[in-house]
Amino acid sequence: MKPTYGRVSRYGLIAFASSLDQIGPFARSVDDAAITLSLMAGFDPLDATSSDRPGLEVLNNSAGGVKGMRLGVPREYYDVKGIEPGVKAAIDAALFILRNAGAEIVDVSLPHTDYGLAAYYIIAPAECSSNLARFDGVRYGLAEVDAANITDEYLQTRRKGFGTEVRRRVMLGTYALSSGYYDAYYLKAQKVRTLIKRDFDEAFKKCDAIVSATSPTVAFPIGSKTQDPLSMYLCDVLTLGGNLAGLPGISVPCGTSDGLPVGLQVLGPQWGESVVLRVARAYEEASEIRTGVASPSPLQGRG
Amino acid sequence: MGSWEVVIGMEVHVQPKTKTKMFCGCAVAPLNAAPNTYVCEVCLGLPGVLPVPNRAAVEACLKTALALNCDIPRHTKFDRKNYMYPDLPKGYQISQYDLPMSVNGLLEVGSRKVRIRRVHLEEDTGKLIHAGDQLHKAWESYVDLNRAGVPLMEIVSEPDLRSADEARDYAMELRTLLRAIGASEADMEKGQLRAEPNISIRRAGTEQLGVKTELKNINSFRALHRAILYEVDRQAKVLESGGAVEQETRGWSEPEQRTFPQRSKEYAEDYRYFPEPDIPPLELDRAWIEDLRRGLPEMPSVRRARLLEQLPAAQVAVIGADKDLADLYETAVANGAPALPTANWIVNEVAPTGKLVSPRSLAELMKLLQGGAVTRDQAREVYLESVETGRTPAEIVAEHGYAQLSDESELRVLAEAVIDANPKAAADYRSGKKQAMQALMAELRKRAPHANPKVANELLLKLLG
Ligand SMILES: [Zn+2]
Repeated sequence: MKPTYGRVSRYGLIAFASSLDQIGPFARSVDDAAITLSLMAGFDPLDATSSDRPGLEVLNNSAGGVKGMRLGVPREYYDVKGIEPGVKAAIDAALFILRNAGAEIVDVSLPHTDYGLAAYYIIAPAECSSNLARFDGVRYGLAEVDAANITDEYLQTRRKGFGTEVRRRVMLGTYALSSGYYDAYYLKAQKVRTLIKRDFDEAFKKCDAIVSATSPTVAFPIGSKTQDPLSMYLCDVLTLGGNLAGLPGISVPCGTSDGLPVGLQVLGPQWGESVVLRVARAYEEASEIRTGVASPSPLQGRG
Repeated sequence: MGSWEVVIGMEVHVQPKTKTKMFCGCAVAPLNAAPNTYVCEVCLGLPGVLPVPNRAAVEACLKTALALNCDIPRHTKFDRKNYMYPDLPKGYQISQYDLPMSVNGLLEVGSRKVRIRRVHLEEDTGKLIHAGDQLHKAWESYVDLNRAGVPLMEIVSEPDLRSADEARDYAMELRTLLRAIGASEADMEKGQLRAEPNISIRRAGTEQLGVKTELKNINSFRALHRAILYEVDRQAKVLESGGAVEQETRGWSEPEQRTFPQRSKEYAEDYRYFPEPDIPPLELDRAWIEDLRRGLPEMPSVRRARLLEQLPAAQVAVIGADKDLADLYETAVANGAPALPTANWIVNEVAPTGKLVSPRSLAELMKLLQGGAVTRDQAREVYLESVETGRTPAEIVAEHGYAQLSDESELRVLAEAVIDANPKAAADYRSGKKQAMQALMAELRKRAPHANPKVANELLLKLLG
């Protein structure tokens, strides 16, 4: 689950993209996620972006069911480019279950979805390039570099300490913030971000929560897309919008495709965690799908 | 020759008076604290930390902006200025870029109206100590992060100053103002006020600005003045010999009394500014701003105008430049102290030492001095003792039996004894060497420090005449 941006203090979290980073619980059931979140959430004087806003009455409200709720299905998400038929089938089944549980399924639109990926991959690397600058080897880190001067020490430390994907993002972000490119990239990406937020504001006038697949495809083999980062980034296309808008969201298991799990994403309005949890719990109950992962036996020791 | 017009803009960094640093709970390190003893995970820039702005620093900055007649926008934000240097723990400095805390101010310095472009808030960096004088050439460098994260206000003027004198007076006026409103101690020697002039010259009567240089490492008003004079002269020589001034940053060397190139424009960094995502934009509440505006004390320029109605310009220049001295003067006079003698006392005895008594004590002492109860030398001793012990001058005078000896019969006995003991000086005086009187007076005061000098002098003259 990803709570609303600002719901959980980021103090102590190593920053990747500060305006997007948000801590959320992983759990085996929606109730566990709700309980964990209620303990993590709240204002922290050490995080100026954290908040004490209400909307967390999850323990009381999440059991309320979806009867009478309007659930929006954004057509840009439902028919997203590259969605696998098995994933689509699993989502159709989930929508059927939710309708049977008493929810009204309504069409909504998030017209700027296509630009979300581009905006995200400018904003996140830009912030990342700045956040990772402190890993320079001066105060801690890789002390074994043999450098002739400080610039050389920076270069060697960072080349050695960061992996390919991290270096790629630092380069992208540095480029996007450079003078002469800032307006064309970073500033434009921020404008897109505002438009995406507005899309959601409009959509939430017509529905209480938004439902979609969490990813257009099921999991790919580790390392299979390393050479093609763009196709890897495309897996995030359905979650980036909610992330850019700072909205709360959850992914719950909704069956499988080709034997691999498919996720149902529920997005709520800002500070609307209780709505998100309520829909997720209602689906979990109606579908009788649990994580399928048994609790690990305490008797795993090898003697 | 001699037809150059000097154009100067000033960037002044001021450390506001706060207990803690800009974005963490660390106390602001005192001067000469052991290295890296005033630091925490936030100002060390460790992974996972976040900045939280210091309200007292924001308030000091807003007060300064209001005192400088600036406009305060409704919204302001912090930005990241990205560059890598070992004294910058996070790899970026939190500063303000396109929405500063305030804009469009004005400060009058003498007859010159200096426009203030902006006053914004940022954090200081750490300090590097090199074995050698340059980072890239040193074989070893040390980092002290005590200053990292200390709040700084940056006050940027338009290029409205026209001479080294004006630039120095501008910096001094800023100091007076900052102290008057309690925003900063603004002590240049302690690095609480750092002035960096931008200097260019152009032919008198032309509009086009010349190429400017920026001067750094200036740590006194005197150095500021000299550095500008040097730089103007240097630029004039370059231009007059057919050369071109290079846009660059130059350092001031105090031992050599000259400026030297530090960084040329070709190395100008691309700071990749972007809004600081860890701090939400600040909404500057109008009621808060109005409260701060109402809370501002009388401005130094207004006070100076009032002092000029009672005192000569020379005394006002000293007393009007320092809030504590002006307070002492005005309250002492309100307590019955005579105006001009009190002003002179403050200029000659108080300003050079910075040792202040209560205005009531000063008023008492000035009355004792004027009434002839103590000599000037005694008054000085009484003053210092009053500073140290906090006791009133009347108590101290009574205890020391300082009350001045003005009794003529007693003084006559003394004067006769002095003449008897110094026949040569007496003879010299009688033969026309008037300066011999000084030796006799000195001898008399050695025997009786509390002797009223005026009466004693008259008696000696009479006895020798
Ligand atoms: Zn600190």
